[in-house]
Amino acid sequence: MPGAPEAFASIVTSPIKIDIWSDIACPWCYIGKRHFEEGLAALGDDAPDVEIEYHSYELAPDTPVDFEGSEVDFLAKHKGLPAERVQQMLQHVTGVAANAGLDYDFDVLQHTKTLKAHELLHFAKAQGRQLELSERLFKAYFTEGRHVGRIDELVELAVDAGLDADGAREALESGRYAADVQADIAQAGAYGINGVPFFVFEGKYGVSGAQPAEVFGQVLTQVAGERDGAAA
Amino acid sequence: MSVEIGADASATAPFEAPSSGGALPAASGSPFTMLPGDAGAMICEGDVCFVPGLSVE
Repeated sequence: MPGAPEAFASIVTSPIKIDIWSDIACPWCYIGKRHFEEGLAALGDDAPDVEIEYHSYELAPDTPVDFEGSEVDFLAKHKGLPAERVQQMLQHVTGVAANAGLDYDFDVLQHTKTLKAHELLHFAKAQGRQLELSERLFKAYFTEGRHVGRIDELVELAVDAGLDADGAREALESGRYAADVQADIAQAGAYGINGVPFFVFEGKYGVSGAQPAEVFGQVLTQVAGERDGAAA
Repeated sequence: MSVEIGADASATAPFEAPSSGGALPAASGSPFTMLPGDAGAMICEGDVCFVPGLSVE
């Protein structure tokens, strides 16, 4: 509109920034991701443009890269829970995931340390392919039983996400993005983020947990509405 | 991977609603304005996943 400050025009036309702290080994992070996507899609033509950035969060830093045994074995030993209780919990999350269209398979899941996967996500961000890699890693871990802690396997998944194999391998072997991963984790601590998934909209609003799609839709509508109001 | 705690209770036990507009347990001391959303939304901490507001076993 004639005479409107360029700053206001920029607010309206720039995408809504969404920062997400999550871990590849977090079952509710993948579910939350899908719910967010569903909430955004449900807005249809009213859906605002969004810019999503994933940030690293390591749920269990003491997890070994290689663990011989099932997920039930690991959790039962690590948490001291009865195997039957762990089975019930995994069945529950599998059911919720199925409702979100995700085919979790804990029988083939390979428990591992996710630090290298996070380094790869930072490499992918630098290449503009972070969202593609995030989806590929979640699917590989929870539905395909792929090992996301080993460099060779991560390079294969990087290629699936449209990344260069040599570049991905060099990034992982050199540890070039290790400091960025730690910076994300430290930032989470500074923000008081103790659990994931954690969503931040426009650096202003925080949303914790795998919220239903409708909640994400409402938040997006609210944030977009505030921007429209600010620019009016 | 993480295991969930309190998920079974989600179907039967009443959820303790988060304080409206206040910081949620997942981000105490957060610089963000926390939007409460669904009180039954799961989060993961360490190897444990749970509904904030429910006691962890």
